[in-house]
Amino acid sequence: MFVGKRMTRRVITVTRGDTLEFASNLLRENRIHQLPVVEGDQLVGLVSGTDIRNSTFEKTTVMDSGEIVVKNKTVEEVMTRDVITVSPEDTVEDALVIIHKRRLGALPVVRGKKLVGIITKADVLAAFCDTLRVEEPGVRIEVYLPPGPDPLIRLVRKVTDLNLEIRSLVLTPSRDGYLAFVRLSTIDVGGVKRMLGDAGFHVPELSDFLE
Amino acid sequence: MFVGKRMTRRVVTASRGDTLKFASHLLKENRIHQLPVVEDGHLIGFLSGTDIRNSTFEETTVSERGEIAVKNKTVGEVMTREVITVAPWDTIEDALVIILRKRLSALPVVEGKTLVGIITKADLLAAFKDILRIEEAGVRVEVFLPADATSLVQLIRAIAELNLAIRSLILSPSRTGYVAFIRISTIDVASVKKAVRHAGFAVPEVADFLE
Repeated sequence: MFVGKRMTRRVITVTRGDTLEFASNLLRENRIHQLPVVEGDQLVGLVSGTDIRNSTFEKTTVMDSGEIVVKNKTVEEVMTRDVITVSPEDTVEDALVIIHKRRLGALPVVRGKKLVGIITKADVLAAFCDTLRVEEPGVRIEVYLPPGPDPLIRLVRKVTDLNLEIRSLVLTPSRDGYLAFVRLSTIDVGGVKRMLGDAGFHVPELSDFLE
Repeated sequence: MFVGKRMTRRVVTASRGDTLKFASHLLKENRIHQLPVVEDGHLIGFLSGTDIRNSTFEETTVSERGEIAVKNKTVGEVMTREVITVAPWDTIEDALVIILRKRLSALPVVEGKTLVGIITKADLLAAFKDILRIEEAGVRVEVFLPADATSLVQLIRAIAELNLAIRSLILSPSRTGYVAFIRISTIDVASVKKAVRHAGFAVPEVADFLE
């Protein structure tokens, strides 16, 4: 899962001299939240919907009519100049960690200084959604597995014995073992849970997860 | 993986009568992008930073001095009334699909009409980061597998024979079978790749993914 595979390539951009009103309309028309600022094909800044909104309500004068007067600033006045970027060869996981730690909405993707794409929170989420086949029909069950490779091997064998196809599998550490999220090509969730339970697997119920 | 486990419980909210300027300050101070609108604990609307920004630049008059006069509207005037919500016992996959399909940034979480939380794109990204242990030290390898469960069992064995523990694993359908993303608690990526290849599996390099 590389950024180059999941980024948006047709990036909508602005230039330094564009007004915030123009930038805001671009965001609205395209239903996006970030605009890389370019000079030629080089990235020089990033302006977000939040930057625009914050600037609009900064140092405003409320008039007697109840109206607020705001300056129609230029992109250059409010843009972020030290933009955190990734390259197409970085992994989607790298992008996720940066977005999460820095609380960002998107990362411009560059080769050198040349803007080649943008990867947003939605792009990263869509990558996981596709990888895990979240939107496909089928059942998703959760199974607790004791530590070591054998319980996982036993689970894979059991599912195969039941003539079910694993569509996707996520294994995550839980307590001292693992929690497996398995997506199976069946719609009989009750039957699968019962058969796995009968085979000695711990298939938790909803109430185990909510306080 | 339920919404109730991953949602933000301490929700910052607005009331109908608050001004957009006040709402914008709330967003800025809390570094958030959405405000559920409540009345007596009940969800009655939803206001995003984008709603505020769009409203600001709607029907504006730009004066000769480059200033814009905007009406300081109330939250009630611009909020979304038909809010898409989820319940704490919905899965985060459900929330993910809704957010991506409807191109939303967050979903208020309700029990009946009572607001009990909010789940944002950032919350979902954090959930994936935690589940996959993305921030932990360790190596991540991708392995191509044929479309049969035996190969998965062989791969798990091959890793166990190296005396290495799988931290997390994603198994996802690919064109020819599966691709497995495995996180292992070691820093010796070369040895892992070598051993996995030796066991007969295809371990792609970055170049295979980028045109």
